[in-house]
Amino acid sequence: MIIFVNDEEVNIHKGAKVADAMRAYYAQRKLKTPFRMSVTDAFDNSIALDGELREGNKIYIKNEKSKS
Amino acid sequence: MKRFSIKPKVLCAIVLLGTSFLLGCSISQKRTSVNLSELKTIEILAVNDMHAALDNFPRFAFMVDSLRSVYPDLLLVSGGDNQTGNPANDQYPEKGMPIIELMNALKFDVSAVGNHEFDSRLVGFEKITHKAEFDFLSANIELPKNTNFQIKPYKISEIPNGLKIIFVSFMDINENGIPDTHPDNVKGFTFEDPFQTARKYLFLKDSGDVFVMINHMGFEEDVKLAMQLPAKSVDLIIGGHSHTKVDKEQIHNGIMITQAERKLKYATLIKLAVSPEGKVDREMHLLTVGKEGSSRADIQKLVDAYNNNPALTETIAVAEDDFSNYEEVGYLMVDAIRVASGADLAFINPGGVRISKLAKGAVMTKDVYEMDPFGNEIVVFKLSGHEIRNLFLSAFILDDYLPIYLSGMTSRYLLKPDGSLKDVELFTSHGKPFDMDKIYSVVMNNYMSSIYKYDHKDSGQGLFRTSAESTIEYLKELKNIPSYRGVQRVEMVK
Repeated sequence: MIIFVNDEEVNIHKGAKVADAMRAYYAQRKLKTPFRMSVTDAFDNSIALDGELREGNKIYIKNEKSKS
Repeated sequence: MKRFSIKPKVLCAIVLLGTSFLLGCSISQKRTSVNLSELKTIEILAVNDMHAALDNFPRFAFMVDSLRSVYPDLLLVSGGDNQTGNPANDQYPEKGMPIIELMNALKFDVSAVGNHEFDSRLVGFEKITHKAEFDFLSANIELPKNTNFQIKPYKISEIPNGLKIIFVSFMDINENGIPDTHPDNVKGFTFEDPFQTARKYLFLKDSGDVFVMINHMGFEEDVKLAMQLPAKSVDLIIGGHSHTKVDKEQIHNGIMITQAERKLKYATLIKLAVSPEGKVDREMHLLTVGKEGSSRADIQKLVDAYNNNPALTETIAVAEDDFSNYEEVGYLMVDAIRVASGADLAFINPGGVRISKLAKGAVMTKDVYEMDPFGNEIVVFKLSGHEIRNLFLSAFILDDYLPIYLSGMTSRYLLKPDGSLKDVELFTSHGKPFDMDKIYSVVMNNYMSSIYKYDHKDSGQGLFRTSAESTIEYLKELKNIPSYRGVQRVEMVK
């Protein structure tokens, strides 16, 4: 399924959690996944790394939210 | 004129509950003037996605008692996913019963059915719905025939001041038409689209004073639902599933939506005041729960007993030989997830095996959690031989030049003189060359599925079961674990 991390498309397995999307996002950028992350949803609510995702969800790594 | 604002007795609870509640106090002072004598009020304390956080219950129980001393008619509500995430609960002889007994002790009123309620399997979940002294709600679920689940679509609670609160619940359904759980767990159930079903249940609005949905759909889905419903048709959606921390008022299309992250780190106190004209005034405060602070001793005693779960030290299988290195333990684990999932092939990353020794003799549940402590879930893919080769090539660099543990096949890594990988050759478990065009069902953990970047078409499907649970299930079936001494499934050729 497709999830948007910082407005960037990430293809991840169905049933993935926030942490899976984060790992996939950093792997896509060939970067190491940070040990600690603060993630928010499209409404600026904080979400836990084990939160469940649904196709098309938009999530943001705090302080990296796109200005678009 | 009196104002609808916090009562003096609440101040005592504020002192008891700490600073998070003080924040709520300051917010409540912003209320508009309403004649207090004409208002009827009700308070709801909502949690969601507790995931068997037993250790937070003594503290939570103390908070509930404190709030009930101020609000005797407080309604205690769970947004679902009470189950799964703590071996003391998940491996209990009656799987999942500790959290239910604790919820009974705290006198919960209602709980949504979350996707993880099904993890107790059909018989287990059916039993849980009978043991629960609160109501399980779900309106978009059709129960299997010839079963006796105690699940209602809705409930109307009348409190002593005469207010009637309507609770109705909807759960999320994935692309496969079921909640996020293993398909075996929901055999016989049918599920309806929550958005369409929610519209059908709007008829309930005239049956009470306050209309509350307790949904297990995720925050974004709750917003979508609120936007699709007539404005202000529902007073409140208490949500769950996405583990969202809603710490400021979220009102969409006139509908308030709350959620309190997960694992009893927080709870949401919602205060509703109904005017004689039927106008519902709402405010919410996110309270910190956690473990620290005053707690209820009797609940702590119960939790201590659950944490001494004898099932964790129960012998689930007997090893016929010692396991003396990571490879031997890794091959046992990877065989376990392949057989338990029914896949053709299984892979585990080298870092996914955390012990290198397992003594001959009794193997206990806790040994499996030591082998595989991460809580990783397993994911199934349909991959061709070519795609599997791509995976192996990509993984080798990420895994610091270590090969993947594999089951159902063998492999040969062809290395360059500098140790980097030239190619990987794949073979069947009988040593014959692999059919590279054939499509195989392959299981791996969610860490591998998210971290390895390689060319493949299928994006995979989570099975909503951890690799540790699969290993425990496999070992219980197997009973006697054969020797893995000297087993080699990977050949490294320079």
